[in-house]
Amino acid sequence: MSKAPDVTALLVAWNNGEEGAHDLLMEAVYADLRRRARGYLRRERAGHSFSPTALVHETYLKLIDQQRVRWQNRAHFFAVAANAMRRILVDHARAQQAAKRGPNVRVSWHDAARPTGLPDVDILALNVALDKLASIAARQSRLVELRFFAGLTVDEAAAVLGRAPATVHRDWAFARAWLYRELRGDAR
Amino acid sequence: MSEIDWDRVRALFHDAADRPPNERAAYLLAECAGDEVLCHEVESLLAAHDRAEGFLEGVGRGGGEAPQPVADFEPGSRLGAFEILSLIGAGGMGEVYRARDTRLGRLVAIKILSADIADDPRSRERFTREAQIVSKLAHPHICTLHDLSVATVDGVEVPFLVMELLEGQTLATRLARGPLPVDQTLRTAVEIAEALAAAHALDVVHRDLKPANIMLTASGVKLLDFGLARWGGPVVAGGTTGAGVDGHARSTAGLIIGTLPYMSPEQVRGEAVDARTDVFAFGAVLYEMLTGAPAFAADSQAALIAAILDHDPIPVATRQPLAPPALDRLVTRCLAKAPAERWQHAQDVAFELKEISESRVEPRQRPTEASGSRARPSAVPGYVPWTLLVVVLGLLLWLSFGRGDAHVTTANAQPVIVLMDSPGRVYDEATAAAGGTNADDVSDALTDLAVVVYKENTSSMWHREEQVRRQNPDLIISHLSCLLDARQANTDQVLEDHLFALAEARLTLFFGYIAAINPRTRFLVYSRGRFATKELTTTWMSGVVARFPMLQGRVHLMSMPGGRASATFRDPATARVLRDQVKAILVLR
Repeated sequence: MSKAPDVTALLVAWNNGEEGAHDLLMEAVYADLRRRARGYLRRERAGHSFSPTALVHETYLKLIDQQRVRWQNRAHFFAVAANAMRRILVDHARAQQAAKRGPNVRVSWHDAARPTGLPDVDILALNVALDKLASIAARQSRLVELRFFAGLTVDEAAAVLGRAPATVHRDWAFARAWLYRELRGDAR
Repeated sequence: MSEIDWDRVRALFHDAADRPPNERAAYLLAECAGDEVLCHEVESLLAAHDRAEGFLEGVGRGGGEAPQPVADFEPGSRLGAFEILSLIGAGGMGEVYRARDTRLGRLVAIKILSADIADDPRSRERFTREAQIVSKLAHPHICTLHDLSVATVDGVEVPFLVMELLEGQTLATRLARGPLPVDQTLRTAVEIAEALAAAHALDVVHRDLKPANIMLTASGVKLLDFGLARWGGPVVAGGTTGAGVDGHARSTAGLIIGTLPYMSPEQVRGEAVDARTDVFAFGAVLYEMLTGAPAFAADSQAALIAAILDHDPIPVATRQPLAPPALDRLVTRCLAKAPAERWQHAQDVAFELKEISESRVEPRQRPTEASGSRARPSAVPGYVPWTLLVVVLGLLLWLSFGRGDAHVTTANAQPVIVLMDSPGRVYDEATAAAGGTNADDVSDALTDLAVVVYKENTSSMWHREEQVRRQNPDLIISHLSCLLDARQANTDQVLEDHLFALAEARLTLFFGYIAAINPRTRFLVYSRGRFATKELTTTWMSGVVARFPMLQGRVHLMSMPGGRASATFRDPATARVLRDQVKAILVLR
């Protein structure tokens, strides 16, 4: 395995508008998160549940040199990490669904790998719903990604999205209601 | 969906959501300008908004949401000697199925366990030992554990528990609809306390008592997951400070989830737990049964942990004035921060609860009331004098309107809809030919909804208020002139106009009365012609609200497509509009 890329440098480069930095950053964060998540997802740590939010924060602490980044960079990191975590969880859920564990199996989470930091929501259904939401309200969909998969507060998400907290509170209310209806409530 | 203008939906949603709930309907009515699709979309989102509090946030709000069941085993598949019949639910420990024991022919519940228990010999041994103890807990209010078994499915060992099959709902599901009546709370609480006492006598501590682990069945309460909750329950921290299989949740800020609202201070701190930990959780459950609100709630985990460690909950009496003061004190003592200051034994709690319960029952068994009359269906205890009842209702109304969140009346297991119409009213020729009425067409339109429908025949001569009040309706559907006897329709236009005006005034009075008594009831008024334009609806609504402000935001109007000449609920499109609106108001699937 090659030496891990300097995520802090990539973050700064991306912030300075350097082309390609975003993709490299995305891959680096995805790879690191995936590696950290794998142990939990494969149930290698018996009896432990894992919290995606905690994992994102752990990754941040490990990857980012605190001295070299400003808040703005930190915000961007979480935007990238939230998206990566969503991919990881969705891939995992799909793999679980595909892997037969018994006759006629339809699995999403194995008990031990049920991410405890997340509310109990069908990840694949949420993934589809988020794509649908993105087509009618892209900013709101990204906000859910940030809050749900990276555990950002509204104020932190506001910084990532470059919006006033009041606006983000409103976006959250709309996205939450829309997703609730889509996933739990009356499907029109 | 492509025709929906989402920018407009969002704008209306935010503007409406910023208003007090009781002003939203009128606002939308005015803004949507007859665009029913737009109006329905926003109304349905607002209804979801009201329900979605905490949705996708998951912080310190565990236990309320029913998990989305995910089936591992399809009906018909085999697990050793057991045939899977259907998925009952998915909980902390794994999926639960309804199954048949093919050897004994009896129906059982099967809970699939985490493979970790099977994989690790030490875990497995300890789990088996605990399961043996739990299987000795023979108590009418504890779900019986029949067996611990392992089957090999496709080369994989699948461990599972075989348990008594229970029919009913969990207390969590019930509480989602509001608090329990005080009498029912007392009965339920005594049963829970006695079950805990029986288990504690065998040194079995539940550790995860919460509404989701309490089943309400026809034969009373059944406690689930006794002593086994730690084997895979979502009580665990993540990251580098997780809890091991010994199940002590260590609280790293921001990582505890799931059942936190019912955890005792010592559990939150990661200290040793004993029977008194269950007493604390019992207090939190009892509090929620009485008030409909969790004893400890906060916007963040940190605040929730702080509340559990340091703050006393809002007194029960503040949220549920009907609760006896002794019950309030009992809850407070269960919820003492220090275990030494709590009730030391669940059995003592059970005795105390019984005494409170008996002191309430006695006055009701006076000879005058013993003449076979059915218990009154309200949440109000029998001995409260009528005048006091009025005062209490007034206070509750004041509370509910002042704070907007109090649930006064008992929530129904399924939403109750009362259809009001005058006898003999029929619009549809085919319905008339078949001997049916307009009310039949309306109820036909609602047949596939999960609701209970009562039909009330009305006429200007009948007094139906008390009857309808006792039906505890979530929604009353009525024709604008349902109190006008259709048989008296007059050819004299002036007289007819007067009669319409009288019928509508009477309808408003009726609505005002029901609305004052039952803060949950909403109203859907339909008309064949009178609500045709925005101006007409706005004018009508403002007249009603001016007369009875408590009706604000609770009355929904529907103009029947087709107009005065031809509108009928037998028409599928009209029936669909009605059904959609009922679903949006009651937030049904």
